[in-house]
Amino acid sequence: MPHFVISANRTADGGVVYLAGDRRWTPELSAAAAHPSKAATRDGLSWARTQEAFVCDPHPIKVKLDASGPIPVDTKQQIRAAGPEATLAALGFLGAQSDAPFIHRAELPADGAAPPSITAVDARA
Amino acid sequence: MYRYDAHDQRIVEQRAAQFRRQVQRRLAGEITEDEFKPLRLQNGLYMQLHAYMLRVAVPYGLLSAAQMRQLAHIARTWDKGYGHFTTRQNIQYNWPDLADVPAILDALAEVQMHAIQTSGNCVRNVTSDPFAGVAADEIADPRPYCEILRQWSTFHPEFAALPRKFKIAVTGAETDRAAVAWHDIGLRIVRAPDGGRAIQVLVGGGMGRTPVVGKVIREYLPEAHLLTYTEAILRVYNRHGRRDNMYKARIKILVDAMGADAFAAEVDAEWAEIKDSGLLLDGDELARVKAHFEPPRYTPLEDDPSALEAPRLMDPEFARWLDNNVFAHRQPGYRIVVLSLKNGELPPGDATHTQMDAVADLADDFSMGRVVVTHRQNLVLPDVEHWRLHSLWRKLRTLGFATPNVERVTDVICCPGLDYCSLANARSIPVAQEISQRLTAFDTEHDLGDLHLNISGCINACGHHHVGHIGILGINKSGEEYYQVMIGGSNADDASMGTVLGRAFPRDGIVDAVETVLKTYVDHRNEHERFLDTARRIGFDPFKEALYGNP
Ligand code: SF4
Repeated sequence: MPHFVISANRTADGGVVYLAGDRRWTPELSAAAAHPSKAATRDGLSWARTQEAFVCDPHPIKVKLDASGPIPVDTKQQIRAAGPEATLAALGFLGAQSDAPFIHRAELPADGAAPPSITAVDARA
Repeated sequence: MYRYDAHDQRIVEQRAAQFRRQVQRRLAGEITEDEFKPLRLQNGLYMQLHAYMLRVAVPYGLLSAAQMRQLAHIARTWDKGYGHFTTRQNIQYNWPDLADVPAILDALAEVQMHAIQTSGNCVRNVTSDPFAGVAADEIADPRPYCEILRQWSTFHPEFAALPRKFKIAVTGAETDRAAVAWHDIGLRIVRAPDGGRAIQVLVGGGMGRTPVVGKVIREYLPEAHLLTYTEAILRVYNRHGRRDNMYKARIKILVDAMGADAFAAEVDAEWAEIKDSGLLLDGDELARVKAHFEPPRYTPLEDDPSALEAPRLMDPEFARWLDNNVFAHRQPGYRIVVLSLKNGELPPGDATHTQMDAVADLADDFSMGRVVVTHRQNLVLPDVEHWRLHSLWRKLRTLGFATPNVERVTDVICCPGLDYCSLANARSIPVAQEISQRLTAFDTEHDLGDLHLNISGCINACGHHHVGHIGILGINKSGEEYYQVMIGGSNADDASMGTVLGRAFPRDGIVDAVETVLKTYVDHRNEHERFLDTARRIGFDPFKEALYGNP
């Protein structure tokens, strides 16, 4: 039975991120919150769209769940999650996420409150 | 080569400064992505699958050694250490952080480069013959015409929001190496009946969803009218091109709908209005730009092929490289050398920062400081003294750029595909690499000769699959990668579109399919017959039968 997670690209560097259950953006697909239907992503998506300064183009992606967490159904989303293999492997990079351990946190907004403040920790610094 | 004047320099610096402020506002959350997107696209900045991608213009593919060094510096400082040379003779960086892009644009401006008009519905980077200025079969150097078009089209206010993007190619040689018939406007410098020079004008060519070969609408345009006539074409397109449907918005659809004759008549009517305007190129202006492209001071040399006989005999690999990667030059004693960026290790067209630096050094040492990017995603050193070829080859071998495969089956044209591109249906890079690994030995064994294999990851055809002698198109079937195989395309003087042979192959079957097509060719070819000629002679049925069996 398919599930859905919410994904976006970071405004700062375009990196792929997923929305975790505590409204934290994470580069780890395994930490993403899985919803049982597309309709169930609605609240998360509306919130994600208020995060414009921080992410671009939030959208739901179809996944199946296994022991390691969500796995995208579509090849495009699998590649988006894993990163391009070719050049990076030849140059010694391991994958899209391996050298980009950004951790971004957004606090939950109170009802009717302004968009949440965002802190971004760049682990490369 | 052309050197910016104070005006050129100021506009690229001002554009970089303007974009810096726009980026700051985006990062501060003052403008939304929807507001920012058209601004970033005007500066060549796309959002791809995993990151931003910055496309940098390389006007008509020509780079100085200093510019190549700066491209290496950008790759090293603000990207992941490599760049990708594209089929439009540009370079793309796949991993810039947004905050760094203004610094990259500043660095480009320092060496008279920019990323302006590398995206959006405007006139894009003008492309040309990679052997421009040095080709043995050249009637006239096309680069002054390209440069005049570049200056005219940059920030042209009337053409900043065309119905769709617009691509112009110019060649000045007898052999078309710029694929002029596959551009929105293709210009060929020809000999006029009076013995002078003129420009043959083609319109409405293009690949993508609806591949069309361009049609000649004027045989002999006086060169003074390069801009008046081009402006007239753009005006007719801007007025009548479809804006209601992006798939029908290119000029090729308009020319097809109106008919080439009616389109030409409308262009003529428009032209009559502006023929004597300030766009008419007088002799001084042509001379001013042409002066930038005066041939360098060549050393007078005898053309002595025997000078290379000894190393040719001693080293078969060097002999193969000479036969495949070295081309005739208009100047006695000089040769044009193509550096193959298709060694099977990095993706086709990719070069690391160290390789780019090394190419810049080689350009200074061997080729009067110039490098050219080709639409086949290779590089050219245009001015090499023939007696130094063996020494150059040894250096290129160390660099990984001496694979003797130019215009052979492993010299694959390949778009970024689903490894990077957000529009893609399927990966193209791993397919190209697998084909390279599988077919290098097959090519050596059977001497497959001149054979263009082109791969695109989607119907947009950045990998020029329609015009590959063998073309591969990635498609999406229920979320999985599949590949169509077509044969019979050509982007040369015998321009033709490939024909799809049958049902698509899954990822694990596509390389076998290509090998089957090649075995069929080997079985049917006459002596010294190219793949394309065999396919045209015997038709598609033997290939279909080999791939799919009897129906
Ligand atoms: S052909 Fe398609 S997949 Fe390839 S680069 Fe162009 S848009 Fe992307």
